[in-house]
Amino acid sequence: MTLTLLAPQRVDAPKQRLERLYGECRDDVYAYVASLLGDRSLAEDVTALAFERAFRRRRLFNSRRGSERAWLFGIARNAALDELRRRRRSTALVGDVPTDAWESSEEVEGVLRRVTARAALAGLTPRERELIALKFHAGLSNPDIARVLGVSESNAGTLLHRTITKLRRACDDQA
Amino acid sequence: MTRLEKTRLPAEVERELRAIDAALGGESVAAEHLPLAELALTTQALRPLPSDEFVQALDARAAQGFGRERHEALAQDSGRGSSSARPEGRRRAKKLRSALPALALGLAVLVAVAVAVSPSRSGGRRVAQPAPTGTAAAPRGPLEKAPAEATAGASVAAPAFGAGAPARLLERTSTLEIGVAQDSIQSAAQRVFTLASAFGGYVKQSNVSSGGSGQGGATFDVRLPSANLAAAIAALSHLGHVRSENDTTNDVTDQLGSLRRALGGLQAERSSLLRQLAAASEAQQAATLKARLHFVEARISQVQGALRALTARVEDTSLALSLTPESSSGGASGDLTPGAAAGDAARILDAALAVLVIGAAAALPLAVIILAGWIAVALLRRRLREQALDAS
Repeated sequence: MTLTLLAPQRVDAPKQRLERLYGECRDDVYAYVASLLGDRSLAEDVTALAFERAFRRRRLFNSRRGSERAWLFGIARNAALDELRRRRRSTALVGDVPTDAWESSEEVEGVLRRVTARAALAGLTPRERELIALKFHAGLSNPDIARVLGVSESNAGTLLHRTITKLRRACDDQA
Repeated sequence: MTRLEKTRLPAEVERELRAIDAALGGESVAAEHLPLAELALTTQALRPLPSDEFVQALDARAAQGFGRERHEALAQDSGRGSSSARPEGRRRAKKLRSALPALALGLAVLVAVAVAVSPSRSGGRRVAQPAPTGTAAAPRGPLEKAPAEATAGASVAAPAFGAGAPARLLERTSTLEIGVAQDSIQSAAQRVFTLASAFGGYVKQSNVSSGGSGQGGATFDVRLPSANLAAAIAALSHLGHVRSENDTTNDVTDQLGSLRRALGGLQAERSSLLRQLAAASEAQQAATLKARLHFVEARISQVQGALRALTARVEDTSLALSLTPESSSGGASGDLTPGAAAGDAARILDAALAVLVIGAAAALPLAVIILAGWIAVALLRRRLREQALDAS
C-alpha cells in the first residue's frame, strides 16, 4: 500500500471573498466614484486605489459591522473624498461623466427624460448627489447606505426619500 | 441595533422606498408609484460606466492581487498619466505614519529599560563616586564649612550661622546593610576602617564575628562628616551587594537658634551682673549678685555644651553599617551548586518580571496618548473629508 502525503494547502479565504466582491462590485464602485468626483480619469484612479486598499485590508473586514459591500464602499468613499480634498487644494475640474451614459440611446423620449433628470441632479447638493449615486448608480441597499454614510438605517431612508422627492420636483420643474 | 435604527419610517415613505427598490429590481409596481419608478429607472440609466481599457487593466491587476505598484501601472496601461499620483514625499509620510506604532513601542521599551537600570533603585549598586583623597580625620572646628568637593549628594545644609542664610541644619542618621561573600567578611571589615578614615570619619564601635555557612557578619557605628556621607556610602557599597539603605533626617535649625538666643541672653545677663558687682557697695548685695552670677555661668556652660553636641550631630552623621554574609543559595559567593543556580535563576526571573512591570507602567500612559492622538486624527480626517464633499 502506498501512502501519499499531501501538503495542506493554505486557503486565503478573505482573498477569495474579495475576488468575488471585486467581480460583483467593480462597475458599481466606479459608477459611485465617478458620480462623486465628476471626472472619468480621476474615477478610474480612485476606483483602482479603493480596490487596492480593500485587498490590503481584507483581513480587517468584520462582518458584524456590516456587509462586505458596505465595507468596500466605505473604503471607496474615503478614497474619493480624499481625492476631492486634494482637488480642492489644486484646481477645480469640470465634470465630464454623464455624457457617455446615454450616447447609445435610440429612444428620443428616453433621452429627453435623461436630460431632464441630469439637469435636476445638477441642482442637488453634493450630499444629495452622493445619496443618489449610492442608491441608483452603485445599487446599494438602504442598510448598506446607512453603513457607508455612518447614519442609522431610518435616517438613511428619510434622507433618501427626501432627496428623491426633491429630484422629482426638480424634474417636474424642468419638464 | 440602536434605538434610532428601530425607529420606523412613515408608512408612505416606506411604500415609496419599497416601490423604488421594486423598480430597480425589475419588479412591477403599483400604478400610483409608476412616476416614481420611472424616475428611478431614468436615474439608474445615468449611471457612469467604466471604459473597456480601464476594466481590462483593472481586471489584470485584480488577478495579481493588486500589487504594490498601485495605479501608476494602471495609468501607464491606460496610456495616460495619473492625475492623482502622489508625490514621493507624501508616500514617505505615509510610510512614516504606518511605522509610528512601532516607533512608539520602541520608545516605550527604551523608557522602561532606562527606568529599570536607574541607579536610584534600592538594592542596586551605586554609581561610583570620586575616590577619597586618603586624608586622615582631622579635628574640625564647630560648624566648619563642608568641603566643596564632597558636597554632591550631601543633604546637610551649609551650616552658616553668622551669615543669616535661610539654609536648614539637618541632623542625619543612616543605616546601610551590605551583603558580602562569606569568606570576604574579614577583608571587607578592614576596608570599612580604611574608608571611614579616608572620608574624614572614624569607626566609633564595631563588632565582627565569624561562623559557619550563612552565619557571622559585622556591624559598625561609623561617624562621618555629613558632607562626605553620600560619597562614603557610594564607596562602601562597592564592598558587596547593597541590601538596604535607610536615611533619616531631623531639622534642628530651630533648636540651634533657640540655644543661641538663650546663650546670648545668658551672656548679656552675666555682663550686667559683673557691672553691678563692680558697683556694689554693700556686702549683702555683692553676695546676692555673686550667687546669681554663679548660676548664670553654670547655665552658660550647659547651653554651650548642648550647642556643641547639637553642632557635632549636624556636622557628623552616624552610619549604622552592617555586613551580612550572602546566602549560599544565592550563588553570589561563586559556588556552582544546583541551589545556587536555582537562586540565580529565581533572581533573574524576578528582575525580568520587574522590568516587565516597569515597562508596562511606562508604556501604558504612552499608549493612552497615542490612542488619543490616533482618535483625534481619525476624527479630524473624517471631518475634513465631509467638508470636502460639501465644498465639491
